[in-house]
Amino acid sequence: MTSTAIENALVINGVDKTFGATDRPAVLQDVSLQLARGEFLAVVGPSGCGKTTLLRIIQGLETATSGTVELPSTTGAAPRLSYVFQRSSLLPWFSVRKNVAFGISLKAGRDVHGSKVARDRAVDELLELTGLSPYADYLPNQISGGMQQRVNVARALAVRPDVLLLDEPFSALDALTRERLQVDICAILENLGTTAVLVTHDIREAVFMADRVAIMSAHPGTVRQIVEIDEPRPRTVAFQHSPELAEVERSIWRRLHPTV
Amino acid sequence: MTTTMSEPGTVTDVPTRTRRTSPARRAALRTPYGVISIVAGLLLWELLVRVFEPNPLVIVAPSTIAATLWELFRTGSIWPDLIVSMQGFAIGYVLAAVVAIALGLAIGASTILYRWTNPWVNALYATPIIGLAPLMIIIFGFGLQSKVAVVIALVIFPILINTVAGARAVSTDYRELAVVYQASRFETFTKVLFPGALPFILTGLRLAVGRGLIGVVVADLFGASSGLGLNLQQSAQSFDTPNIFAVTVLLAFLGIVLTGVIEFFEHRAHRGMK
Repeated sequence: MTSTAIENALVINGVDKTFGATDRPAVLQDVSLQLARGEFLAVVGPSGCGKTTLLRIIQGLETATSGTVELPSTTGAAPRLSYVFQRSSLLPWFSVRKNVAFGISLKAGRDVHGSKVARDRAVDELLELTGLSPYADYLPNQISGGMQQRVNVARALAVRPDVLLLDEPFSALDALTRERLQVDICAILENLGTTAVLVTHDIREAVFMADRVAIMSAHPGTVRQIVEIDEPRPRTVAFQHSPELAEVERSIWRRLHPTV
Repeated sequence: MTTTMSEPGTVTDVPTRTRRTSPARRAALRTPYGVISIVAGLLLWELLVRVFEPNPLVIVAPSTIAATLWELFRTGSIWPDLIVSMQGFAIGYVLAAVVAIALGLAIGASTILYRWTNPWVNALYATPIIGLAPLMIIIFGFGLQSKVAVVIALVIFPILINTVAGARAVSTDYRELAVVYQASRFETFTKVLFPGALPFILTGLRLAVGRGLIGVVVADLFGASSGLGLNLQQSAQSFDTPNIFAVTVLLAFLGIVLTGVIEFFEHRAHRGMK
């Protein structure tokens, strides 16, 4: 195996997906993507292009009709995935702290942090990192939507995933909260060196957060082009409203609307 | 809940809404209509009995019932029957609840199991299983066991049917969450399905109280060596109407208290789910 292959955290190879009978139109057709360790890839495309399905296949919530998803491991241990749902899907009967600790309180995630003390410390750090410390003992229904999504992300990060999957995590939020979360989550992922795949319909968000943006088209869902974003991470608020970002955003927008 | 919370650095101009309640409305809310209604009803009953003096074999005044109840506890004559019945009820109820909740979560979690068992659960829930009470007496005898068996038979289906509904109502999001974090089957039950289904389970437990009390009384009617049902039967045979009313009131009181306690937790569970 070459060294570049080992550096990959996620390799998607010719994934096809058809729901139901095989004569139905494919949702995904021949999707291939590679992610280097620590890389942030965003996937944009019109609704119905299968981008969420792709994410669910990577996570194992759906199975591909054909093709493979590989998670090369450097340590020999099974690589860990975690998923940030579009709706925060926090367990309403648990406090913010217990929700963040959900993954690592289970048998499967307990060994991520050696001891109970280490687990508690990891949760404390994540709460701090996501600005949730003051709300640790609140119930999910007592905090705002933006805060709930922070908990959602913190919960996913608590298991120290090798690859983090984000399924339109900010789409239900107001513009101000969304922009703030984009900056914060970007910094946190950069900080932890987490490999991430973000699925979004918000081109601006994709350009702002990602190292590369994969543009998908629908019917059948397939990757049309991959755009590199030439801007060092972590990304700053200045970049969020810069003409450079707007320029890249416009060019991607044009590719998604070729007839306009 | 009207708590509004701002994230650091985020502008929130959401006006805090205070619910305005008029003084008249607040007074109305504080008026204990339930208590007033019951007291008024009892007074009316007392009055009618005193004015029309009906046959005391048919109906007696609330004051007579109260006096009889007082006597039952003062002499302690009620205790042997009361204790046996409460034991039968408690053991049967708890056993049925444990089985029904575990089984209900399993059925609710599995589509295949649900398809196969649902017709049975529904049919048995609708069946007046009390009809099997004589059979229980034949099998288990006149003692505690037959009461426990009848209570279980009556109580298990309302709890089961509600637990199944509750487990099925747990959102797919939460089930997928368990998949993503690789929760074991047991963890999925204890951390996701059980808390998610809890409001439904409590409803089932509440509805089961009344049925369980009926069960423990009716079981006695087909043969028993002691119990409140036997006490009622013997009162009837000796035309002791005040005693029949007194024991019935006692049973009603037990039912109301148990139901009230469960209802309290039910409200809390529902509030926690929002």
